[in-house]
Amino acid sequence: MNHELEILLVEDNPADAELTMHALRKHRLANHIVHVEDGQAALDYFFGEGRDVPVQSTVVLLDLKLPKVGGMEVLRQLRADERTKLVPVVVLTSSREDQDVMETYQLGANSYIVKPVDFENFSAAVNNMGLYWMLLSVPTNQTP
Amino acid sequence: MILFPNLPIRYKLRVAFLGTILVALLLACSAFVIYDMITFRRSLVNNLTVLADALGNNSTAALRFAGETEGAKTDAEETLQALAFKPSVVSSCLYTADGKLFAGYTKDQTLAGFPVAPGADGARFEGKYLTLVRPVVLSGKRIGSIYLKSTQEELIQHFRSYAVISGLVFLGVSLLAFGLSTALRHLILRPILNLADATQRITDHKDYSVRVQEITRDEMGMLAHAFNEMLESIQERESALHAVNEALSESEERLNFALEKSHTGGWEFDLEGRSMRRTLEHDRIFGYDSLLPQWTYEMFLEHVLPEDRPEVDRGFREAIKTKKEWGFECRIRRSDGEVRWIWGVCEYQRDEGGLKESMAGIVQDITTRKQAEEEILELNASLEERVRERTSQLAAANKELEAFSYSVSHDLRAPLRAVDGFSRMVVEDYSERLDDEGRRMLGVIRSETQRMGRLIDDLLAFSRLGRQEMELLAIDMRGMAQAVFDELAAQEPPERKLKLDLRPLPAVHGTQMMIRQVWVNLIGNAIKFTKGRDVGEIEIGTQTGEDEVPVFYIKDNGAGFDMRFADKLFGVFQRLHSAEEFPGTGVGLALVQRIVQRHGGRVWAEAEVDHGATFYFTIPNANHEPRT
Repeated sequence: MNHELEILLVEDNPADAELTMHALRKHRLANHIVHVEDGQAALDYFFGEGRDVPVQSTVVLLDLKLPKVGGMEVLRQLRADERTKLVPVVVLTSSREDQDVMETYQLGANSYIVKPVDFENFSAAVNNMGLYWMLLSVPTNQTP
Repeated sequence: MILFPNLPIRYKLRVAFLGTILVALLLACSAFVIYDMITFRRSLVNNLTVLADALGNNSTAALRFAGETEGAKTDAEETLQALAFKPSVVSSCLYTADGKLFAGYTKDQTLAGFPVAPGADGARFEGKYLTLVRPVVLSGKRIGSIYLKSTQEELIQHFRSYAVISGLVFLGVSLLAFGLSTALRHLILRPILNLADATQRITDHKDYSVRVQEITRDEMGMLAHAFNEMLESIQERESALHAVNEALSESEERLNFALEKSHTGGWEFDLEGRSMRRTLEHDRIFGYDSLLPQWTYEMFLEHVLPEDRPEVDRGFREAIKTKKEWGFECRIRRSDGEVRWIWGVCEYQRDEGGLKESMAGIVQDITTRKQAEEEILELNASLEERVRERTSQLAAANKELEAFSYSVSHDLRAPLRAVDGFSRMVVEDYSERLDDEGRRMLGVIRSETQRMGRLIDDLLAFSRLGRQEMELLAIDMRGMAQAVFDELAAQEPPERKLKLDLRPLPAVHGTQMMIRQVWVNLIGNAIKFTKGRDVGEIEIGTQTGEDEVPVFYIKDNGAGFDMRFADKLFGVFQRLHSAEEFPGTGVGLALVQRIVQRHGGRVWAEAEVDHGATFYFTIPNANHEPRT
């Protein structure tokens, strides 16, 4: 499988971001992680000047509380655009009881992960989305 | 016509008695006298006739030779003189056959002479005298007539003695009758007088206890008896009437007292006479200190404020027409000019004869009540305003709380995550550089931060419960309890032995997720606190409590608790066991209580240290959710 899995982590809390990346790195997904710290940067990642993101192999890990543009708004814009309509989005939340989680489903989120994001949580969420091929593809890509 | 209407009955009786006797006596005497007179006269005539015939016989010879011999006339006169012994015969004479006076004799020369002719035969009473003419017969041939004239002295004598005797008898009988009547009067009069006397006493003193003595058994006795019976029934009626009157006046007194004390005026409007009878209070309500000489419906209407007048008038007329009860409230202007509210109710009435129609009712001054009502209305309005204010304040506070919960769940947890995550990274990546103590300490840091995370979770769940919408659905309690137990038991280590005795449970109406939480927490507790037992025994069932509401219970054979601390059991963060012994955040039972209370139920527990605990709760089937 030649798909390169790219993970866009949208997280403003540096500790959370580090923990997440650490967990993913342990499972050798770190090379494919792009970390941005606010919603605007996330939108720029997709719609910025001269950008052409391989939408089919990108997963967005999206925190909801973000500076500049909120996670909810980011999700709305992604779903509103033809190019990014089908990008898998996993919402990051600090509580499974969060009201916002339900709202993000209505906006078209694919799954959610309660922080801290560790590999088990991540793979469960990815499985939920039916994107386990992404994980399967990892070892081949990572094999030197 | 009644004679002598004013004469006492005893005189009437005497008059009747004496009158009857004397009249009878008079009649009897008269009859006797008349009869006697007739017979006496007849015998007088007879005697005279015998005398005349005897004289005639003795004179036949003389008469035969009348006119022939001188001596014949002398003989005849001698014969006639024989009458001298008969004093009553005053004169006599003989006539020849051709009716010529032949011889005569008279005792009294003064008397008129003898009649010229004898006249017809027979006796004749002429004035004081009786005259008799008889034929003188010889050998069957009439040879002359004899004439006798007698006084009635004898008859008069006889009559006189008769009169004397009659008078004496009359007098005697009268005296006797008077005496008898006096004696008999008693017999007849006494009962009557008794009766009259009693009547007089009743009339004078209205004393119906008087009774007439029943002396005889005749009509008078019957009359007295009937009179007594009549008196008896009158007395009974009198006393009944008295009692009724007494009760009536007492009730009237009470009614008047009530009317007066409640400042209620009473009135009755005669529909025919168009006049109104009222109590004093009635007129006072309209502002008059004393009862007006007259009051009419029109006067009443004039007091009613013009705005209310048409409605009142219409209602009143309608009530008369429909003959129904009618109540009203209206404003009046009192005689002193003050406007007051009155309330009244009246009813159409008709007396038993159906002749007299009237409207009767009561009226009350309700101004104070009206003012109070208005005040209440105002108060209510301001209260509603305040409630609205408070509600919006409460809603704002709720919003704030939600925002707070949100920030707790996000912001408070973020540093915790970092502490836990980085400790874990240290454990994972740098454990070979740490000794055992260092690793243990890091373990403590991690478990404590995780515990704090759970505390925050539980606290949020607890606060969220108050805001959660209730959705009452039928819940199969037995199925739910079984499912929860299975789920929780599966999470226990395989060596743990648990025994569930699940009795039949009735269904309830509740919010699925919440009731499930109750079971999770209670069954979870039961599993947790039976950890030290060889076999954790859990019994779930129901009892019937008060008001037929089923009481669910869950009983275990676990550690139990000291009943002294039972009141702390359901408080937030209240724990009766150390975390080391039995881990927990102290929110579970507070959550259970909150859910049960939101369903209108009650939860409580009984336990003994080391002898297990039993938790009870009720979920009434009606929607008892308290308003929030």
